[in-house]
Amino acid sequence: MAGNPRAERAEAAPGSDSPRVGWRATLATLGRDRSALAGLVVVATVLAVATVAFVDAVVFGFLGEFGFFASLGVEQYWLAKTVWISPTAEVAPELLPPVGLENAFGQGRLAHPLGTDDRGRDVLLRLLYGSRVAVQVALVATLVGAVGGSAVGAVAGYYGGWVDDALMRGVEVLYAIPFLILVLALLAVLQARDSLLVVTATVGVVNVPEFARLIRSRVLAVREATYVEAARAAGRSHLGVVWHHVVPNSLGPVVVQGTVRVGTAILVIAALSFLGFGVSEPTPSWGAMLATARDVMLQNLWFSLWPGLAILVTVVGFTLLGDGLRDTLDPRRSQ
Amino acid sequence: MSEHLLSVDDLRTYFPTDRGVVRAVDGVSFDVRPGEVVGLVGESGAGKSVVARSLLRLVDDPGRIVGGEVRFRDRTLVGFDDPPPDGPDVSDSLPDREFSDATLSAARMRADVRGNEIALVFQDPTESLNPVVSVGAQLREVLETNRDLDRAAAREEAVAMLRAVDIPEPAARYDDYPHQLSRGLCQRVLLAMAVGCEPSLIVADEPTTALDVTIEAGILETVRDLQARYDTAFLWITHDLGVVADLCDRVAVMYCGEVVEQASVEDLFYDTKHPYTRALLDAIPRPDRTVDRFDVIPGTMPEAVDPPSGCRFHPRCPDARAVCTEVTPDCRVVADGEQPHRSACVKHDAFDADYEHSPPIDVADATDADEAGETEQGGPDDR
Repeated sequence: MAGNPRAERAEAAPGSDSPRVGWRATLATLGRDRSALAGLVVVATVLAVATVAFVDAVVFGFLGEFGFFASLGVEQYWLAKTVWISPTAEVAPELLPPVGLENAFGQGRLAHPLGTDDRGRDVLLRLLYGSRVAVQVALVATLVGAVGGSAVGAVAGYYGGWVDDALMRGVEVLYAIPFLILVLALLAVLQARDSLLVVTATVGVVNVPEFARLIRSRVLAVREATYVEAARAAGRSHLGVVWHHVVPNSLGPVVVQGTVRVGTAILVIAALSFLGFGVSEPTPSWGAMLATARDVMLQNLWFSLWPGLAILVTVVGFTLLGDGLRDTLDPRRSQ
Repeated sequence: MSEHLLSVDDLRTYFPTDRGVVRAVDGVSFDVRPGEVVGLVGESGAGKSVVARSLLRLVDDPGRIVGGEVRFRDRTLVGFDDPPPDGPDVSDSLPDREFSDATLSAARMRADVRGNEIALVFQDPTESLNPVVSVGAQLREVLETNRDLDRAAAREEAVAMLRAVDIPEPAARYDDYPHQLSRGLCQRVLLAMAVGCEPSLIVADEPTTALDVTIEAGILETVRDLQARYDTAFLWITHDLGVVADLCDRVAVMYCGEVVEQASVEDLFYDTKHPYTRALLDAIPRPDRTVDRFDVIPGTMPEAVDPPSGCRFHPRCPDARAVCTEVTPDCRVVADGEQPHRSACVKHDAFDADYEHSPPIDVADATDADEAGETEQGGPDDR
C-alpha cells in the first residue's frame, strides 16, 4: 500500500520540480518577454518618481500642518526645495529652451535641462512632480473600477437571473455613454472641477462597467466548475464560495485589464486636466502643462514636447506590461 | 426505521426542458445504515449523480426535487406535505412545490449537514480542487468551516488528514497546488476533505472512474482503511460492478431514474433477481471465458422525458412479456435473507401480475443479441 501513492507521486513529478506558481514565476516568465520587460522598467520608474513626488507634495504638505514637523522645517515640496527648487517657484526667465539651444527668450541653461515654462518654472521638475497626479489618480481610479466592477460582475454572474439582469442593464447604461463625456457630465453635476478626489472617484466609477462585464464573463464559466459545487457540498455559503473560489479564479483577466486601464486612465486624467478639471495651478500635472504649452507653442515648441512624451512613454509602458501579463497569466499559454 | 442513518423514500427530481420534463430521478427509495457501504450502480444517465445531489439539495437549476422524502438521522432533508404529483400531470411543466415545514431550512442544511454530516466526493479529482489555492489551504478551509478549529489547529489537522489518506510527505504536499499533484493524489486530498470533517456519511460520486486501475486499487485500499477507522458510512456511486463487489456491503441498482434491485452484495451477484442486473453482470468481460463478442445489453437506455410504459426496462429485457408493458413494478421484497432482497420485476411471486401466463413479446431493439442472451442467461424459466 505504502508504495502506491509514491508511484503516483513519481508520475506527477514534472510539474512539481519547477513550481509555476506565485509572483516569482510570473516575473520570471515576464523577464523572457522583452517588450513586457521594457514596460515593467518604465512602469517601475514612473511609480518610483511618482512615489517620491507624492511624499514630497502630499505627505510632507500634510505633516507641515503640525507644529512639531513644521519646527523641523517640514513643508510641502520640502524635498524639492532642499535638493533643488520648488516645482511651483518661479526662478528663471520664462520659456527658456532646453540646455544647448537658444530662442528669443535666451540661452538654455544646465540648471533647467528641459527649459522653463511660461512662468519661468523648471520643466523637468514639474514633469517629475506632474507624474504624481497622473499615477495617483490613475491607480486609485482603476482600483475603484476594478474592485467595484469585480464585485458587481461577480455577484451578477454567480447569482444570475434577475440579479444579473438588474446589475448588468444598469452597467450597460453607463457603458453606452462615451467615457470622457460621462466623466465631464458627472463632474458638472457634482460641481467639483477642482477636486482631485472627485475626479478620481468619477473616473473610477466610469471604469466599473468594463471590469464588471469582464469578470462576469469569467464567473459564468467558473461557477460551473466542479470545485464550486464541491465547496457548496462542503457546506460553504454562496458568498463564501464567491469570495474564496469564484473571485480568485476570475482575477487573472482583471489584473491584465487593470494594467492596461491604468494607461488609459492616465490619458483621461491628462485630458481632464488639459480641459481644466481636477488640478489647478500651481500644482503640476501633465495635462495642465500641455494646455499651457499650447498657448505658447509658437514661442517655445520644446515646452509642449515634454509632457506629451511623458504621457506617451507612461501609457505605452503600462500597455506593454499589461500585454506581457496577459501572456503570462493566460492559462492556455502557460500550459 | 430508526436504525437507518439515511433513508430515501420515493425521491423524485425532475428537470424541465424544451422537450418535456426529464424525470432524472423518479421514485427512488433506499437506505443506508451507520457504518455501511452501499453501492449505487447503473449506466450513465440512470440518475445516480442526481440522487447524490438531491440528498444534499444541490440540484442545479432548472432541476427540482418534486417529491419524496429524505431523512437523515432524525432530520428531514427533503419532505413534502402532500403526496408527489403523478406521472401524466407533469409531462409539460413542473409543479411549484414547497418543502414541508419539518424540512431543514437552506441555512441549516448548509451549516449542519453539508460537509459535517454528509460529505460529497466528485468524479473528477483535478476539477474538484480550486486551481489557484494550495491543496493544504483548501483542506484547512473546509476543516475550519465544518469543525470548531482555529487556523493553527486546522492546519495541523489538515496535515494529519493528508497523512491519514496515505499521501507521502504530507507537510511538503500541503503547499502544493492541484496541478502539481497527480489525479490519484488529488482524489486522496478530496477524500481527506470529506473524511476530515468527520461526517457520518460520505457520498462518493464515481470517485475512481477517472483513475487508472492501479491508482484506483490504492484509493479503494485507503477508503477501506478510513472506513474501518472512522466507521463512516459510504454511498458509493459507480458503474463498475467490480468495485461494488470489492467494497460494498449492499447495492442498489438504478435504471432510468428508478431503483430496480436492492440487495446485499452476495445476493445481488449470486442470486440476481432483476433481468437488468443480470444483463449488467453478463456484460462484464471474464478472463476465464473466451467469447466472440461481449454480451452487451441490446439497445440504449430510453430517455427519461418519455419513459416506456410499464417496466422501463421491458424494451431491452430478454424476459419481457406482455404484462411488462402494462404493470409498473415497484421495488418490493422478493426474497428474504439476512437483508431483504428487493426487485422491481413482475416475474417474481411478490407481484401478483400473472407473469407466467402472459405471452412473450417481441423486443424491438434486441433482435440479434436476443438469442444469445436467452441461452446464456437460461431464460425466465430458471427462476
